[in-house]
Amino acid sequence: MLGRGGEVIRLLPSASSSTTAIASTRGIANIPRWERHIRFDPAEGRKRPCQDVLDRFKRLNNGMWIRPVPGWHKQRYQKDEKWQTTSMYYETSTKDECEMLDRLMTPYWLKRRHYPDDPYKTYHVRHDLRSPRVDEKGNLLRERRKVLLEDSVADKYFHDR
Amino acid sequence: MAKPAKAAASSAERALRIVENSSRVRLQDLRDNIGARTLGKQQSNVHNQHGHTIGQLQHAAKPPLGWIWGDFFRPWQRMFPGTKLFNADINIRREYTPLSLIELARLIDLGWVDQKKPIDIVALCATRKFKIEPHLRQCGFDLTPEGADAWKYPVDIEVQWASQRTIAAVESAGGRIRTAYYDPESLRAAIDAKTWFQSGRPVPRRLAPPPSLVSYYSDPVNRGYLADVAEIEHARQRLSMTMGTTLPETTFDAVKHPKQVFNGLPPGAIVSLKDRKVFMPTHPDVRDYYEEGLRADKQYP
Repeated sequence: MLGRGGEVIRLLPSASSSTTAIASTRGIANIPRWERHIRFDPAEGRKRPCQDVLDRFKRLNNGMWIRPVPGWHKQRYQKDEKWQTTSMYYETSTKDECEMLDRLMTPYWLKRRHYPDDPYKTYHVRHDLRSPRVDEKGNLLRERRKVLLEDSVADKYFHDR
Repeated sequence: MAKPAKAAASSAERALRIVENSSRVRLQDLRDNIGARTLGKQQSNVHNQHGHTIGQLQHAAKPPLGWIWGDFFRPWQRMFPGTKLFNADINIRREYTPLSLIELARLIDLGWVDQKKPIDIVALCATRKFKIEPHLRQCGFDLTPEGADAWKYPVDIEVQWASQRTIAAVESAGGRIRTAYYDPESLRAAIDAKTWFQSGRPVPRRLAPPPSLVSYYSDPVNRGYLADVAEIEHARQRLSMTMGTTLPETTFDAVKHPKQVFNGLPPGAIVSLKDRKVFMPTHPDVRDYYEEGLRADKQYP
């Protein structure tokens, strides 16, 4: 394959580069200083959300976090047909992972948001769940609060639980 | 050695004489003598362990936030590739408060909203049932079609976003719907009119939609407030044919002017709730400011 300068570049990773990837595990001394503690924004006076999570994950309105498949854009030409399709899917996180990601966020990122023409519109709803609808304060966890509507009436018109 | 002028008759008198000869008591005299009190040496928390020592584990670096399993010092969330589609444009995305037709019907039934009058964001927010925060890029109401089959109120409503099913439901019931843009400043006045009037600020002039929304609000299909009236009527007929509904004959008052925030109040007016009076600007510069043509909102693209 031709690179930008016209030279032939290797597409397969060399042995040394793969070993450096494995050897990039960090010892005690190698932990960057910004990861050893929960960072606080002095201007805002509270913790900052984890930017790694915001870059890689999306929180749906029902509390589920989705993420792309690891390595979906890496060397696709040498992977099989099944990978070409399934790697384009988003994967869901487990309950424990969702709880952990929630703790890495600030309340701003845990709020439900409504956008018209949202491509994720159908995925903001999960049906037939046994887990409680409300948190310990009585706030609805997965659906929005309906104005002046009881559940018996709302269930006739809304299909969001 | 100088002898005292008089021999002291008693010890009390002698003490009195000493006080008479001494200077006035100052704050300095009330202080402790040097060395009267001593403070113990403040140890650092590491060494102040009441005879116990600290192990290496307590001093060691802790795993970073988000660690689950495997490589102890590598956060799990960094194993996955980043995606621009997820949160990259969150700071320019516009959020709309959902309002379904069944909720609006409930508001009308229970008397929170008067269906005889035009229903706009001012009337909806006056119910205090909704919370809109313009500083979080929330731009108003999205009228969603839940309960469209049961809708039967011939209302004159103005929202910020509406789907085709909603528009068809409102118009087949004999109503009129328009989608209108409110810039953050006008939105702040509209969602809490009483506070705005009491603060003494003039009614702002509404700005035209930003470039990304001009196409939406000038589209007759969306019943945009900048669209041509004849084209809207044409689109209305087309939608009723598509949805298979009949359009009743309706007459409504003129729609709100694109620069107006409140019905019946021109921009630039100062409202005194106490005197129940409206004051208009008289200075020609101020009047020109409020009477000039539509200006686009350039805060966000």
